[in-house]
Amino acid sequence: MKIIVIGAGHAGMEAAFAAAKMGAETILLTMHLETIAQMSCNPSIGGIAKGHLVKEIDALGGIMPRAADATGIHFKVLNRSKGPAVRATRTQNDKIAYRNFLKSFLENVPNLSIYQAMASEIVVRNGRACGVRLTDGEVLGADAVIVCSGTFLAGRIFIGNASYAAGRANEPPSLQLAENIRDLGFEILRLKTGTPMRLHADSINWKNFVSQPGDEPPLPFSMYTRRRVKNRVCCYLGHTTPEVGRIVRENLHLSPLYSGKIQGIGPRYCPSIEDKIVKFPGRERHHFYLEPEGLDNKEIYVNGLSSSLPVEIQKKILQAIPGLDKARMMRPAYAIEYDAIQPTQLSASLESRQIGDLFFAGQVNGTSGYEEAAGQGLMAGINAVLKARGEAPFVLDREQAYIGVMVDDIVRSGVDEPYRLFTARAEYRLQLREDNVFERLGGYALRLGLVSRRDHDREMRKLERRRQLIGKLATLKGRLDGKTETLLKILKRPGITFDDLEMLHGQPLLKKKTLTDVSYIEACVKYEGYIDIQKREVAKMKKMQKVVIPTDLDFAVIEGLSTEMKQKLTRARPRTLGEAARIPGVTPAAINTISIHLTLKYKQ
Amino acid sequence: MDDDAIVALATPPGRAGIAVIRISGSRSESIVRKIIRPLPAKLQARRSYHGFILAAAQRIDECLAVIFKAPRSYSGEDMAEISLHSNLFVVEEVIMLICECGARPALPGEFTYRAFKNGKLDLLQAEAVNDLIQANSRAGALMQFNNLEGRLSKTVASLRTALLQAAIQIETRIEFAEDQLLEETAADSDLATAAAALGKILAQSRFTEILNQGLHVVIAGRVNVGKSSLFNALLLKERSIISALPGTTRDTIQEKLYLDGFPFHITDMAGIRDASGDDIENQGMQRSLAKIAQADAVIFMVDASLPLEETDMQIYKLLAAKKRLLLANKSDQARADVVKSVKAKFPEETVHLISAKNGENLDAAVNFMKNLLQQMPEAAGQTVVNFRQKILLEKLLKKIKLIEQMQVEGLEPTEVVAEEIRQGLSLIGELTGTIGPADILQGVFAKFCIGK
Repeated sequence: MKIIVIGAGHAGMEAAFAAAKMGAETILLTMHLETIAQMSCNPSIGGIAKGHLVKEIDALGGIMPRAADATGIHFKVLNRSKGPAVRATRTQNDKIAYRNFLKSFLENVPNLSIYQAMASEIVVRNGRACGVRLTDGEVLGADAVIVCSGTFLAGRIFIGNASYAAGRANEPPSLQLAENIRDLGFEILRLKTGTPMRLHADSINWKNFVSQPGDEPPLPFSMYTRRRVKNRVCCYLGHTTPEVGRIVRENLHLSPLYSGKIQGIGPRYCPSIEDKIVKFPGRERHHFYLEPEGLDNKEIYVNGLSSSLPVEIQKKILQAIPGLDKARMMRPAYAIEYDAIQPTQLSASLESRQIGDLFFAGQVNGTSGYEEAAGQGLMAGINAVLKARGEAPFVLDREQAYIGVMVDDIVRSGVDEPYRLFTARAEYRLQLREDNVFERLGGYALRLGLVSRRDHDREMRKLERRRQLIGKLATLKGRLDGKTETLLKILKRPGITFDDLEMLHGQPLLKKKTLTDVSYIEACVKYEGYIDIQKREVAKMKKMQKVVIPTDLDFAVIEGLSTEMKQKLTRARPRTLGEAARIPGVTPAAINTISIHLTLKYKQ
Repeated sequence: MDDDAIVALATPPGRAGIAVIRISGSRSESIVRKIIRPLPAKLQARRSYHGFILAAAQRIDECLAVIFKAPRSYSGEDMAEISLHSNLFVVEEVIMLICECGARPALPGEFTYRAFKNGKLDLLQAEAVNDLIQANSRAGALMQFNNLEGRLSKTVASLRTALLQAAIQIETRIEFAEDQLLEETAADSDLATAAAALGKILAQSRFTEILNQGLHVVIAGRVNVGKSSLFNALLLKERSIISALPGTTRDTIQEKLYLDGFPFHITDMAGIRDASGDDIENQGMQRSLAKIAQADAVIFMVDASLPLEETDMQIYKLLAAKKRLLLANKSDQARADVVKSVKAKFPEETVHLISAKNGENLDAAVNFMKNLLQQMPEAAGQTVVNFRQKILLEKLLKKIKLIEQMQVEGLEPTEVVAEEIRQGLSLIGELTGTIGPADILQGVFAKFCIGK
């Protein structure tokens, strides 16, 4: 069985690694061996919702979390006080080390060949992808092809009035493949993203900025990381000045975003400095972070100042910020426009609906972020192998994983801006925690052959230890506020932590406890009621999911549906009643009306 | 897992001989057992059982109950049908009782939907289903919420905004606050104000009050005019302490009376007289005055056998804004000059001469009360929909109070408060359409300057 992965970024690497691990003879195509695993934008992995994704990738045996730990130089758990479900890990990484680590890691993976070449065409026969043609004419045969082209399809970079074709700064775009994908009949989106300038560390006056140290002790992403991780750098916080606002407003006509040169739609959650100043005219200053790009690397990433203004204006902006007034720019900020496919053309296994054995993952599906890409890459890699074996696809549900939420969101609703994961997108957020990824996904990973029996069993023992302790809490008693209750009941009280419980008990309840242990125990005990409600909802939804809406159903003729409902339903084309129910604005009454209509139709 | 029991009125709302209330779901039989007495220990399916519907241990109607066992029922689940007298208010009180036992009002067409899911539908004539769809569309249209009284719909809209705002705030705090160091905080969401407005409406709403309490009628008058006699005559039982000594009824006594199946609360109150040195009695009088203020209508009694006093005039003044009925009691001892002066002193009123003691002309009072009923806004047609909405709104109010409490106490982690807000939003969603993450994120991006 042969699998070809086009592109060795965050999606492509996970896809190739998973496929190879599952035994497929895998070829990973990259245009440039030196830029495998390149972090094109910020030198960071994880964050809120993204950290959750990385933990899920870890439980499914992926490589991103291991690479993040191995090359991490700053570790932080965000949202510590906001509850176990929204708590999330983030690392700052040494970019060069990250690249090197993954390149050498992949070079040692059995069944995996990395090959420097540019794909020009997906070879399609009888409606199925069966290989890839390279720009030099060579044709590689395959049972499945996975496209992980990032921003390279017909990529175009903009800095002020200048623009040039590129997949990343100074790297050629993939034009032939872009053309080929259009020719294959895919609906294409033109999206846009940007990256800020990089400054020389020695030219920054650091006294003007507030240091943001990592957590002590630092916690790794991966359950397989044995080595102790260490914080080696600090990030710094700074603010723009009103002068920056003035400069941006005066030169707005030079920004291709505002002059109309860029047609692509950018992400609202990651606005350029131009966007921020236009959209929030009342704010005198905007914050930004200075993030080191590595240990042996003087480049500093200016998180918050992405821009497509001309270089001389970017320099003026820097001069207007105390501490950056003498900063030397090493790379300017730029915006990039690229082709993505509308992901509604994919099924939940990330396989194209129109061309069999052709999979897409990552930014080419209209998402943004390394973590989103990696999560899709992993799923596409697994599913390409399962497809080739003739087995059922591996699809995660929305209540099982953020990966499931993301894939379901994009293939069902499509995207109209680069899609980023937020915890708010998950209906069952209290169940999708970093502390229970193994419980949620560990079994699948073992069955798919993505983790070893030994690793699985070790994690299982840790899980059993937590579960046993919860059982034990029901048998131990404590006295608090004049009331004697079981420790389980006491822990359920608002504001009582596991630490409080141990204090009350007078001795440790769990030896060598980790944040994962504590989070898991607190969440399981405190959220039992919520999780029960959610499980009932899921069961209900599942039942409704099963009612299929025929693809030829005309919503417009359904009596009793308002015009607005009809429009919403027609646009979204839900495939089941469950999908219909999740369309914003569609009422339960409308769902019932449809189901009765379906009944009538079936009977006639 | 449709363990949800659902309930709805199966017959058209309005005045008719009988009404049928249907319950579907595995809890149907246990609900029937909770509200109907007496029933044998074992109920056979598809057999009629006679009993009484009990609300707070009081019989409110006589009924026939039938249970069905899955799959041999309309919906294919366990079901129950209760036939009772078709008075809207009683019907609604019973539906309310059933909901208190854990059922929820059915969505339009939901019984049919369940029947469809359970593969029962081929038992139906296509035409019958068609009719149902027609009914369903009308109910569906009603559910768009436009039909509700403007004030309520406005309040729900502001509640929706406040809740969405609260969601935006809290989700922003979760997704960005720490990561992005948000300095700006959104204006406090006006959850409290919106909730207070909803609470007020729910509490004041005639609809609610009728369902919960019925109409309040107070019998008012000077000491010893025979209020307790009338009260007892109306209730046909000895509840008040009747005595010829002035001021015997020292406190108000309230009794429920059904006229046309509709509950009236009749209050027999302490007689009002001036210059009493009796403290206990004064307390009773204070309560009497408060009762008059709250009452829906007042039966004002004067004594036809004794000249009018200043106190009569003072009491009458208190009733200026009330629906009222003037009864001149003691017709057996009536003095012509007194009756004449009563007519002269109260030119706006029709004077009914009665004898509470002898039961003479009591119809004046009964007709007055039945007439009140006629004047109530007709709740028919929208009833089922409104009822569903009302239940949702009450749940919502409870939820919002919980959210506020959590926000004040600050003991629960942010994600728990966020979860409660989500549940609140999904309740609102059942009224006005789903509010999804996209709506919230849109608000986040519009209100906050976020991004790297």
